[in-house]
Order: sequence, then structure tokens, then C-alpha cells
Amino acid sequence: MPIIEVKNLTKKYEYYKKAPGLLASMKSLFHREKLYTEAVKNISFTVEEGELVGFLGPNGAGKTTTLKMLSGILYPTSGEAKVLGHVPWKREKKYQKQFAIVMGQKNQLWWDLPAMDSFILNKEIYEVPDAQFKKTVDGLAELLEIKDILDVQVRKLSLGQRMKCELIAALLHQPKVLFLDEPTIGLDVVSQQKMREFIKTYNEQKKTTILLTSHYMEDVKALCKRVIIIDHGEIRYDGALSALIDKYVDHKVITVTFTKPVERVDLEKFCPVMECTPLRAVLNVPNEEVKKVAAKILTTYPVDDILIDEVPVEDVIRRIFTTGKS
Amino acid sequence: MRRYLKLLKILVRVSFIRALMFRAAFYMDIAYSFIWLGLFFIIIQILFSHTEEIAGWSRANLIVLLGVWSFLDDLGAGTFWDGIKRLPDLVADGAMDFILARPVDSQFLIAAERFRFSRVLVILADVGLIAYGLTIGEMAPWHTIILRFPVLVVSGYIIALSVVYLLHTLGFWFLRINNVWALYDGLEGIAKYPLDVFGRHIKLLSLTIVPLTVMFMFPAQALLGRITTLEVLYAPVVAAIFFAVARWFYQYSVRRYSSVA
Amino acid sequence: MKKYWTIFRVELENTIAFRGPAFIWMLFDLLWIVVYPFIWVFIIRAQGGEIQGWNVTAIILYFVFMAVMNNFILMHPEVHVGDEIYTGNFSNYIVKPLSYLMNAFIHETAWKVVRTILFVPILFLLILIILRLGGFTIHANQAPFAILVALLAVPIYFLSAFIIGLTSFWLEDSSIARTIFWTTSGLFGGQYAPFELMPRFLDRIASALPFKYAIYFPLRVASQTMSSAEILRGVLMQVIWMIALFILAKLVWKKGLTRYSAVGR
Repeated sequence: MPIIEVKNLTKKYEYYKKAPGLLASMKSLFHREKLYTEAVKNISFTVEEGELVGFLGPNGAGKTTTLKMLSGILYPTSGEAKVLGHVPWKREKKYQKQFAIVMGQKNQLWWDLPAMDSFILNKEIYEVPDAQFKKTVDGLAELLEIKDILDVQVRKLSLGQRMKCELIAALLHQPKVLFLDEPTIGLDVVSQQKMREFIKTYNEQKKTTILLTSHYMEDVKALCKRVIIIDHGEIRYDGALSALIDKYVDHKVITVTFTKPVERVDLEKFCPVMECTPLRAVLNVPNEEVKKVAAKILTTYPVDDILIDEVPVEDVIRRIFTTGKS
Repeated sequence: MRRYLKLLKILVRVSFIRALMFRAAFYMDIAYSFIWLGLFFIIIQILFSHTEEIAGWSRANLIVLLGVWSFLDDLGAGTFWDGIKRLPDLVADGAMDFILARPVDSQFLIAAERFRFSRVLVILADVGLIAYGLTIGEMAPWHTIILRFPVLVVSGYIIALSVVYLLHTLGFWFLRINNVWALYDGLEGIAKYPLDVFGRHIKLLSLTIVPLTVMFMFPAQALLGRITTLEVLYAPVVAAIFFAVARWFYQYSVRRYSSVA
Repeated sequence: MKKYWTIFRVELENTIAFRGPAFIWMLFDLLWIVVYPFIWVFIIRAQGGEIQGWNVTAIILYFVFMAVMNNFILMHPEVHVGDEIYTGNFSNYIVKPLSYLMNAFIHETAWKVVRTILFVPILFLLILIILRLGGFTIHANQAPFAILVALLAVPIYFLSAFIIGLTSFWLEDSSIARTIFWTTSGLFGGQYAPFELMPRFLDRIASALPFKYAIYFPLRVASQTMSSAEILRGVLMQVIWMIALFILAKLVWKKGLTRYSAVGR
């Protein structure tokens, strides 16, 4: 039985058009144009227990809206969804005690008090027994390396430390499902990495089902075996990350450095040349011809080093977004 | 139920810690309350330098009314006022979403989060003012006060809570409405004087749709021995109705917010 | 000159977006004083229809004018300025080639325009009330003075409020300064009772403060016969207060700015 089941989920927003300028402001006192936008269009997917799924998409793609519907914060315009057997927007207490949502850059903790005070509140809200509370807090604080800052006012902490505290606050009640919305946004590189390590470890140890949204490729690459790409409210791809590359990428990138200058025109006889300086060239080579071309270059030219690489996932995704076809 | 008491304890403790941290604001609030109270007291003196009574209320009676009015105002300001005031802003910056996703009654969480301990001391002053007014004027027999006054104060408190919630629930409907507290403040301010001065029609309104008389005058009347049993029974009914309406409107607004947001 | 107009236009546009809150503030101001005419009418009727020259019509007119004056003349920069200093936002303005005072004034004027538009229906209501009471005699030859005096009142109140807002440089929580300002300007500006009906010593205190010349004086010139000597004396007081407050505002601003740059926020 899948833990998360989404069928034909749609969310339409209505909003008012606002043009700039004084005259337009005056006009808007009397009449405003109502417009609709479909944030999420008819999406369907399922997630099994223990999966760590990444929702990838540009801003405004519908990732956050989907998470909000799955946490019961928003009602869909149409469609169905079930998480842990519950319909999220019914907001049953039983369901709410089993999931947690963390949104990057949005604070759930009390600003002017130590994080521990917010934990105590959550403990009561989610009815976590004393012993379990202590064990969980100690364990997580150890894992996240923030044991000594739990008694420091949240506003005095760095963004990275704050996010770690937010995570602990969310995980106190051992949720079966965790929704993470842009958890690494705004963090420095080191904190981002630590955050990813933690999420990965936590998922492996606790078998918590995690749905993660991000527009950072790094998050998805590091964490998710499975990725759902969403753009303009539609799912463009749902499957393994590695398969994504296989499906969309029919070529590899060969980077060659030469010991003696080579002419671009000579290389172009083989295959498209992406970049070319006298001593270095980057080539796009169709998958079937990689071995042949590589061999040919090695034998024909004075090669210092040759590197055969995958197309960066970013480029793949960008292509998916710009072409708009799956 | 016990869980909510535990939660309340935690939230009250947090407000207390905050009060200790922001001590300047604590003292300011006390000073501020005393200054306003002083102004209203002076105004009463000015009014009564020209007359012996206003709509049947003597200077002493009006001092009692002022004390009761301030007492209820401080009860509200000390408990739910700052909490509920945040509602429009919580909706505007998305923090409401987190509150709604939690397995606790969101209205409780919002209202109980900001207790103002400074008001505790001001309440003592209010009681002093009431005592002063009762000493220099009439006072009802003790046994009637003990029976009636608490019922009326609690009813007044519940109506205040409901009206404040009703107004702030509009934060789910309108984007820029975070000064809606000013509407309540303005209306409430009228009730430090006997609403009879406005004439029959307004008095009727203040007994029903805008129950200022029920909230503020009734408890004062109970202290002065000017209340009927019917009125004492009427107040809790009004309180129950307002509470139900406020709760319903809140839940309806949340549903709409979740559908449309 | 053009830059003032541009800033004003932008402020106006911003304020129109805040018409909801503006409407609420307008109701709030009205609610604060609406009870007093009723009380005074009650008292006057109980005393046989007149107290020290004030009859029912006169007192109602007094408060109607008070409501109109509140809406047209009184500006409240103290909240806006206080907040901007507290948050440090005001520093955005001091680097621009426009004095902060002018900025605050334009901001408040934009609010006034929106508030006035919203006030129009209430104004109609008030005019109806006045007409029902039999109208009032405008002393035609005093009318130009009334307008002059009202115009002079604007900077007096604005500058007082502005200075209160500036206290935010020193007080982290300027609500106490505001409270003192509102209670004092209210009582000594005649918001709760005309000066003739207040005890002598309060009236004397009021004469030492600028609020009487901001609110009460324009009212009197519009509604009562005054000798030219009286009017001239009043106008002189207004001008003196205006200059004094302007100098004080500049001083406080300079001191505040120095403190801000030294201490930071």
C-alpha cells in the first residue's frame, strides 16, 4: 500500500490584476479584473514507504502548492489524495500527528526564546511522552551537532543553526511522513551539505517517507533516487534520476586537452564542437559513437588528457523545462 | 481538556519569560495604562463640575463604571488581545499555514500566545478605582454582588473575546486589515459612559447586536444594585450566541482560505 | 518642485492600496469623540439648556467642527516616523536629496487626501446635522481668517507629532511618548470639552501648549465673533509656536541623528 497516493490533483488560484500607475490605482477602486491560474494541473503519483522523493521544478512550478495540499493546508480544486490512508485536507488530528512539514526560511520557532522552549510546546501539541522526547532531542541534537545551542535564543543563531532546530522541532513526534519545502534555500554551502547528509541518514535509519522540494539540483542529486519534475503545474517526469539522463540524453561530453594546438575545423569533421581553445576542446558526441570518436582522437591528435562525462543534469532539466514536452 | 491546560501553562510561562526579557516595555505598558486611566478620570471630573448626574449615573457611579470598563479591558488586553491581533499578519505572511497544520485548535493557539503580565498590576488599580467609587457612592449588598458580578464579568469577557475574534477573522478575507483592532478599541471606548446618553435606539442596539451595555454596564449595574435577574440571565445567553457565531465564522473562514488561498 | 510632486504621487498610490486601514482609522477617530457631544447635550439639557454660554446647538456644532478639523488638519506622523526610526528604515530617506521632514510631510499629506475622500460621506452626514440644527452663522468677514488660521494649524500639529516620533531615537518603545502626546493634545486641544467648560487651571495649562492654537483657535475664528485684536493675537501665537516647533524639530533631529550614527540600532 503506497503511503502517498495522488490522483488527478488540481489547484486553481484566482487573483486580481493590478497595473502600475496612479490612474490604474484609482480605477481599481471600482473594478478589478479577476484572473485564474492553475498552479497544479491534474497531477498523479504514488510514493511508497521509506522513499525519498525529490520534487524538482522552477519557481512557481507548483511544488509548494502540492506539498501544502498534502499537508492539508490547502484544499484542491479537484482530484484526490491520500497520505497514510487519510485525506489530508480533512485535517484529522490523527493524521496531523503523523506528519511534519518544514519550510525553508519560514520560522516555526519562537524568535526571542531558546529553541528548547519551542520543542517543549511541540512536545505538548503532539503529545510526545517525556522519555521519548528526551531521547529524540538528544539523538537529533547529537546528529546535527547542535547540542550546545539549544538554550540560545533563536534570533541569535545563524540560518544554518536555525534550520537544524526547525528540523528537530518537526521530528520530535517521529512523523512517518516528512515534507521539506526548499530546506536548503539561503544556507551556506557547508550547511547545505550537512543538511543533505542529515536528511539522507534520517531517511535511511528511520525509514521516514520524505518528500522534498527544491530548485537546487544539488539537493536532488545528493538525496533522491527518484525525482518528480514539475513545471507549470504539470509532471514532466517521474522516475529514477539515472533513468532521466538515459531517457533525455543521447550524447556524452568529451573534454580533451592537447599538448599541441589543434584547429577547430579539423575536429568538426568528427562531431559538434562545443568549445575550442587551441589546447582544449569540448565535444558533444552521440552515445553510440563515444568509443569510436574517443579512440579516433587519441590516435589522431596529441592528447594530453581525455575525459568522458555525462551531460550535467541541470542542462537536462533545463531542456525539459524549455521544450515543455515529456 | 487537560492537554489544553498543559499547553496554556507552557504558553503563559513563555509570555512571562518574554515580559522579564522586555522589562522596559513592561513598565511602559503599566505607565501608559495609568496615564489613560488618569485622563478618563479627569474627564469625569470635568463633566461633573457642571452636573450631579448623567442619565441617572452620579459621579461615584461613573467612577465605578470606568473601573469596571477598565477592568474588563485589561482582562482582555492581558490575555487574548495581543494574541488575536496577530491574526491578519499571520495570514499575510503564511505563518497561519503552520498553525493550521498542527493537531491543536488553532484559535486556542493564536489567542493564548501573548499574555501581557503588565496588565495584572493595572487590574489591581482598576479594582481600587471600583472600590473608591463604591465607597463614595452606592453599593449593592454583598450577597447579590457575589452571585451576579462574576457571571456578568465572565459573560462580558466571552463577548469581548468573540467580537475581537470576529473582527480579526476578517484577516482571512482582506489583505490589509491589520488595524482592525482600532474598530474594537473605538467601539469599546464608548462604553465607559452610560449608553443611555445616545437615546433609545442606540441603547437597544447596545443590548443586542453591539452588546456594549451587556458587556460593561451590566457588571457595573450589578455592583450598584441596579440589575434585574432577567438581565443577569440574559448576559450569558448573549455570550453563548456571540461565541458560537465567532467560532462558526472562524471555521468557515479557514475553510474558504484553504480553498481559495 | 517636480520631485515633490513625484514623491507625492507615489505616496498617494501606496496609500490608496491602504484604503481599508485608512477607513478604519477614520472610524476610530470618530468613535473616540462621538460620545462627548451626546454627553454634553445631556448635561446642558439637565441644566436648563445652557451652561456658560454654551447651548445644545453650539455644543453640537463644536463637536461637528472638531470632527471635521480632526480629519482635515490633524496629521499623525508620530507613528510612521517612530516606526521608521525604530526599524532603521528612515536611513533610506536621508541619503536622498530631500529633507526627512518633507518626506514625512508628503507621506502624511497623501494619507490626508485618501482619508478626506473617505470622509466625504461622513461630511455629508455632518452637514445634514448642521442644517437640521438651523445652520450656523459664518462671519463672512472672518472666513478668510478662518482659512488662514486653519492652514497655520497644520504645521503646528504636524511638527509636534513629528517631534514625538523623533523620540524613537532615544526610546526603544516610544509608545509612552505617544501616549503622553495623545492624552495631552486631546485634553488640551479641546477634544473632550470646550475650554470655557473646563476648570480654569486646565484652561491655563492649555494656553501654554500649542494644541489650543492648532485645533481650538481655528474653530473659534470660524464660529464666533472675535475682535481683530483677538484674531491678530491668536495668529501671532500660532506663528510663534510654528517657528518654535520648527526649530525644536531641527534640533531634536540633529541630536537624534548624531546619536543614531554613534550608537546605531
